Amino acid sequence: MIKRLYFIFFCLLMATVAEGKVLIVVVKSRDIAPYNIALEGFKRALKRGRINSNIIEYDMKGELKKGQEIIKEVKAVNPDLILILGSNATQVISSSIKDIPIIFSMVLNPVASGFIESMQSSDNNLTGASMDIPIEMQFEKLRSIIPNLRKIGVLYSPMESKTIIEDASDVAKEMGLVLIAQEVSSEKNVPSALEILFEKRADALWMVADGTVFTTQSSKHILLYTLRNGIPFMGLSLSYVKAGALLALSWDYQDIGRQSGELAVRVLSGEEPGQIPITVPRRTSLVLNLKTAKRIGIKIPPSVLTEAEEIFE
Amino acid sequence: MKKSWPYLFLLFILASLPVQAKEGLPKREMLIFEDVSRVITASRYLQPISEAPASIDVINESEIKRMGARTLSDVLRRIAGVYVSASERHLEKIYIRGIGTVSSYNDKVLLLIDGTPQRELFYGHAFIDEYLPVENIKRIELIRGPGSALYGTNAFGGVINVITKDAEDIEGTQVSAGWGSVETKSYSIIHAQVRTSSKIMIFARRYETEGDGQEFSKKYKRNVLQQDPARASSFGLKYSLGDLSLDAKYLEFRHKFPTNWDFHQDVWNRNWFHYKNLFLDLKYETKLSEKVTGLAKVWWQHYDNPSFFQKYDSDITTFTVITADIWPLKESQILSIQTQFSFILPFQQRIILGAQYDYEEIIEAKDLEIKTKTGKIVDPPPFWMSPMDRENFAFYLQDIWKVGNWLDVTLGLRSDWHQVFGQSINPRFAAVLRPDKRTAIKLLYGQAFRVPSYRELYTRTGEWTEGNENLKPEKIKSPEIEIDYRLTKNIKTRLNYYQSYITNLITTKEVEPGREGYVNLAGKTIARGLEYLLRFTYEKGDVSLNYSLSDIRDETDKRLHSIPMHMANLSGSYQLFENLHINSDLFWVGKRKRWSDDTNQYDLRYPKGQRRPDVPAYTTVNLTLISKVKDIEVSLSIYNLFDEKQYDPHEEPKYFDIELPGRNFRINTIYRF
Repeated sequence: MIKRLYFIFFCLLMATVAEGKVLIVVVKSRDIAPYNIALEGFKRALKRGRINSNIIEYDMKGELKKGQEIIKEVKAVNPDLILILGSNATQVISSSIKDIPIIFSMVLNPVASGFIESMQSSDNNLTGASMDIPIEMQFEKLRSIIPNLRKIGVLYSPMESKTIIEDASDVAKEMGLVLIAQEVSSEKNVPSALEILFEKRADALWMVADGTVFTTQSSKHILLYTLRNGIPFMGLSLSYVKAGALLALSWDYQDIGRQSGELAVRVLSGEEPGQIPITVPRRTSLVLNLKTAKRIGIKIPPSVLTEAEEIFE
Repeated sequence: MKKSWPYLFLLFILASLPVQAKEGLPKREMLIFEDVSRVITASRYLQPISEAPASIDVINESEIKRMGARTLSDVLRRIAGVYVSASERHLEKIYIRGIGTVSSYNDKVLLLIDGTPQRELFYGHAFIDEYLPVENIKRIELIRGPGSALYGTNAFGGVINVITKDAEDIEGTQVSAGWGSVETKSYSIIHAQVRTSSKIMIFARRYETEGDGQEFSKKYKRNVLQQDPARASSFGLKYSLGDLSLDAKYLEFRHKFPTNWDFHQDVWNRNWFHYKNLFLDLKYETKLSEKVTGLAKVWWQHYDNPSFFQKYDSDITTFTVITADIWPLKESQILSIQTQFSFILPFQQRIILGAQYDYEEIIEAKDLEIKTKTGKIVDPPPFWMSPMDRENFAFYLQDIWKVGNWLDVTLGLRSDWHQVFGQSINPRFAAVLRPDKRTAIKLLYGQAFRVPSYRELYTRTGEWTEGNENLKPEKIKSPEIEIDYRLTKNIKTRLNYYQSYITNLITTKEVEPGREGYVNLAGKTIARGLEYLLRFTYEKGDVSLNYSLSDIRDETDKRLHSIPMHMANLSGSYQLFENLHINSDLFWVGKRKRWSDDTNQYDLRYPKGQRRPDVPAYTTVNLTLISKVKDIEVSLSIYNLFDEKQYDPHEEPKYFDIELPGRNFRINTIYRF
């Protein structure tokens, strides 16, 4: 009798322990600081949501082959949830794993990338925290520095950014602005595309995350062109502002990670990932380059200056 | 089958294309995270200085222009804790927190240009006067306190890093011309081009001034004026191709004899002190991987003094010849090789590891010939030093660790192995605490050393100060606390308290009756001080106030002479109209103690044979107006606006004080295209 009682007690204990901890697999596109900062935010959100977890981390190193290997291991481990950092890993993992909830994080343009149908719901096993700063917010920021802003120029490749450009065009219309979008098929076309864009008298250049348009060589050309011709350039990130763009909106990576963690808590509590809307960054910061402003003859309003979190001078 | 194989091959290729397309992974976020090559160089503004692991001040190009600075010293004297004093040898002297040298030479501060040390071997002097072209300066960083943990010898009282302009800062052509009092003229041209993978910049500048006039006096009525006639020429080239960069500079400087000596007019008219420096700097810096950066650098400096005097006759009855304290060094060179790696590690750590090799060579040193009035050569000659060389190896390590968002810790260590002096190990520690967004508290500790100069070690003079080969390097240890507080977005304030302990200080002492020699002081020299800064920035300008208290005492607890205990600077700038700015600086320098054995011999303002009162305090007001219309900028500067009489103490006891310039002005024009 006592032995049976011990046995039952032991099983209950194991069940309690087993039930207490969830198994989460984290797959990073690369092992870089922004992803690690986001992961820290994710873990903190789990703690706050009282989720007790075991976390196994993988680094895809940006390699497709490594991604395939990771898929096999993940399937073998069969976690309760997968957190994916970055588009590379999201593309690889989500195309093969359909039966385990996936939270993506630090992903730009998940709709345009084909991971989900819409930002409202994915209708699959994915949800996540995107890096998509609302286009309206970006145009508003640009307009706060250039009060006479009417035409916004953008370079894009149809293969990568068609959907974003369509959305941006709609937003511009609603705001009484005009989006002049110039197609680029490769980096070699960038110089001529820029000339065409500014023959059409765009008041500013807006950047989208398009790897065909923005390469190491072409980025430098674009920065030089905008400086020499006095064109306000809204870059994608702090790096671009540091390099010479006039302004950018920057992210709080830890908070994006936290958002992913909050989504994970909801999924682990029983909600279907496909029914949870994808989040957008709730904290952004304005970065300015005053040297560029001076060079191109733009006076930054004091209210914008005081709002800026980082200034290069 | 034979005819169909091309179609099968084509089908195979087409079938494989979707697979190949899938191989390509999106790069979207990497566009955000990757560094972008800069086309315009700017440094962070809101964050950096309060978080740097050092007590540092940064003056940028626009501030340099607004203050109407003509020389590096004009900029430095505005910084809290810095005292710039005139010298009778036309070489301005700098004291950082009271630490400097009472002789004419700036051997306790390390001057870097774009990170490369500028060292003069004989006296260890750092030139901060017209020698350096200020038109080409983008930014000046002054790091107060010992810096040998990173930079080695001479980073004793502080480090001055002059950052010159890059091609991206100009990109086009800039021409400037200036004209001012005492027939001062300067002209410069900078031209730069930037391409996708390369950039080039060339620079040329000419400076001339006639100074206050002829300097010889009529029989002991000495005409002690600070502005000597001078000429300076400089040329520079910066070229970079990808990660490789070359920086070449040629700096030539001439000035008349020092102010306190009498010379025959013909001799004075004919002769100049004249020195030339050629610098070549080759650097390769690259990202070896995502977390590793490497740097390899070679720099070479060649010094030449073509103005060495072989023969000299004097007309003065009491002296046989006048050649004292000019450079006997004819030719020298320094070659340095540096490698450095930077690693980013987990837990927000960064490690810098480096090694450096220095080779110094005195190629030619010349004895001075002394001739009496009758033409007889005096023997032995007053200066003597053989050609010689020496080497130094160094390894350094720095670990920077960010603990969350609230603490940065820096640990640094450098070990130098000097051929003559053996090993010197210098650690460094810095903790920067950020309890909230407005506050940064820095706890700093550093050690440094200064190797004795060739002059202090090897010269054999007969009449002047004797060298001593047994000298040990000077050493300094300095703990410090700094509090930076941002009261509002527009008002920031800073308070520093430091203590410095100096041992083996090199000074001169009577070694035989009638002869002085260099010795290490047995005791400790202690410097303590406070620096305070308040800065208010508003839409149309800014106002800043700084005050410093510097109490430096010798081993007997007596305050050192010639250094002010109190100094203050009030400066303000305001945009009067869209195209017109006005800037004003007020400098106040407190009184300076005399030498303990001061008994007046030559100063006509006081009775002869008596101890003079301390050198009085003075106040200087400078004013600059700058107007910019399109690509042309014109500035008018008036220095010593109220024409106050001001003096700096002479570096020798009993001598007259050095009178500073009265009211003088400069007009400068810059045109960019």
